[in-house]
Amino acid sequence: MQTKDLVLEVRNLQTFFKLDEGMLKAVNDVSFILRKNSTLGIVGESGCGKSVTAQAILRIVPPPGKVTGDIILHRDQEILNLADLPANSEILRNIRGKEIAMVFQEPMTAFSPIHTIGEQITEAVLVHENVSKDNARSRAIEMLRKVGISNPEQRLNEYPSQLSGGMRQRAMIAMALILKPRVLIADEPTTALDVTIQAQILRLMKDLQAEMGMSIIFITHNLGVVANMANDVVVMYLGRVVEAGSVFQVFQNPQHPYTQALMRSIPKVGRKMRVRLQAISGNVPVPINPPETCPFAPRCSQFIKDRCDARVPDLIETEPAHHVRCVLYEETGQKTLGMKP
Amino acid sequence: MTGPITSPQTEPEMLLDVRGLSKFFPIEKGFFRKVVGHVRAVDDVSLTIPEGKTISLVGESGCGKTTLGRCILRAIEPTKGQILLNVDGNKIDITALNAHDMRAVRRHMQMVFQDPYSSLDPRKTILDIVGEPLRLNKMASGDDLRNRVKDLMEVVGLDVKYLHRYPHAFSGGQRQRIGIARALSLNPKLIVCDEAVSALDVSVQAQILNLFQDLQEKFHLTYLFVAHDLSVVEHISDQVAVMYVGKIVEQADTEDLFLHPKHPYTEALLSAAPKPDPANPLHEIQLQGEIANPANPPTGCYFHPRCKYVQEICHKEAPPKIETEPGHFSVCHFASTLSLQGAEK
Repeated sequence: MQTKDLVLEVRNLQTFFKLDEGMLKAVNDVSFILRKNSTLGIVGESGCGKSVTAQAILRIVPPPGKVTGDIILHRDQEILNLADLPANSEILRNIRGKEIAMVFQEPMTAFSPIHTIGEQITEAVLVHENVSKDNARSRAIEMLRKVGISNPEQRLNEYPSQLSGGMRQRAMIAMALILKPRVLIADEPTTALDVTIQAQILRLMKDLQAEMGMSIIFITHNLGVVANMANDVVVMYLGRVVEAGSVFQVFQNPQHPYTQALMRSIPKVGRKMRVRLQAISGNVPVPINPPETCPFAPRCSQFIKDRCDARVPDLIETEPAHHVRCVLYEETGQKTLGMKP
Repeated sequence: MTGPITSPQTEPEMLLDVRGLSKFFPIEKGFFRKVVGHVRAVDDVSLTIPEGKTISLVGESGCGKTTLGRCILRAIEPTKGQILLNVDGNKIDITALNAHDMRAVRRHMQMVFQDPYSSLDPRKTILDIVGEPLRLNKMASGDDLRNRVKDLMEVVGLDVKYLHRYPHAFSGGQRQRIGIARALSLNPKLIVCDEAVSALDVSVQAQILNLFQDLQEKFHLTYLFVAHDLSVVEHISDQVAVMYVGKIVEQADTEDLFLHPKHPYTEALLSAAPKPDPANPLHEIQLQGEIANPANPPTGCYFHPRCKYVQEICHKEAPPKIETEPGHFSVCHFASTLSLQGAEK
């Protein structure tokens, strides 16, 4: 793959929080690439570090979180390592919202309740661009119409509480996309919505991606949603990438025991009912002082003593572009350091 | 208490028989709180639940599924209708019971909540939480209570050494087990599970679903599952009732409903559920607009403004309940003629 296809490259990203209880290693040596016009799905359960990864990319990790590693933003002419910039620097503030925008799970908390939708969307324009208020307003109306909000001239004057959940999420997407960002980070954007509304929002995001040509990082715990949205998938567990590959590789040929177990544990529509689900034993652990072993070892059904608990397995390329962090593949696969395109 | 009505012998025995249940919440306005309208959260719902089976209520948020679940326990007072509970062969209309008699009957009906974080009192230990129903009903105390709680913890897969721990020390899945142990403490017949696995991680959700199934076999429990996740519903239920704006629009055996839906709304819901298979992307039926306002529902069929099969009659007349085949009900004018797409095998 040529570098001109790259939009964002994350290498050895770490985000640690020094707490009284110990070191919370929320994101631990995570690497991935985001290609132009494509969608990367980050999947995992609560506490796997998927949301902190998004915050780290935008450098909005709350204290005492510390970000290290490389977050390389590829622009037309130059490349920029966001990890090297001070979090409150002018450059980063310009990038947030304009080049990398974010959509959150709960649009009720992401919007200010005391300002109208219109004020908040136009503010995003006015902060980043030197245009008139009227111009910003007409662009907001146009954008709201694009995300499927009827009667946008009137909706602009309404407060977030006056919109339904689906409409708020559309308004949130309108606000994120009004500056035509190159990267959209969507953190569980449909989790709080009903399936019918979820389907509408997913369709909307795909249509807007095709129209505006942006790259999406789609963070979710829902395997059905990620199968529908992503071109590439990263599976995270306890702060680490355990498997990565194209959506077809990960879903049709899952290789890490965690990914395999995850696929087996979800009930599927149309499957013969009344069979017992194959649950993963144990609970999702909290990554405070995680052991330097395979993160999934304590719950893994294929646990090998003295190997899985000896060290953190390397990320291994088992087929082109398909990477797995598991000792089962250490003999057959090719060891990869970080993830190279 | 209304006199016991002897039930006709049918197989399987009906545990719960809900007849014409409605719950209207008044909309009040102005200084004198004048009632200007009603939100018809549950609107003339009839439902029977056979003993030892699992019935699921599905629908979008605001459709009234949670309100219906709570009305059945009389956690919310229904506006009208009857709820007949079969207690050892006697059908008792629980809507007619006074508070004292209701307490005796409520033993048979328990609830498991969605959020295992907010539904457990953070200042109480597991012993207090799980033992409270036993204590309040004066069914156990002292060592006996402690032993009963330990038994319950074992049944739901919690380590008894955590007897004196507080909820914050547990993960979401373990908390849900605590909630289930509490619900089981009085040997109920019916458990209403309100989105009981929605807040859990996928890997833990499977454990809890298995636990529900094991407990059902062991104690011959009957479940009313209120849920929005169709794959969970298909997995756990014997029968499914689909609700839209306060009414049940379709009801059938699970497999029948998923493979051969007879209501356009069910078809749309099934089509909108994303499948974990990248080779099989969503082809959802685009529903126009949003769910109807239960304070001011549309004329005729409530679903007609969003229905792609809409006809003249749908605007004017409320559709009848049609039994398309034995046990499969659809409230649609064209239930017997429409050919709808079900979930793929």
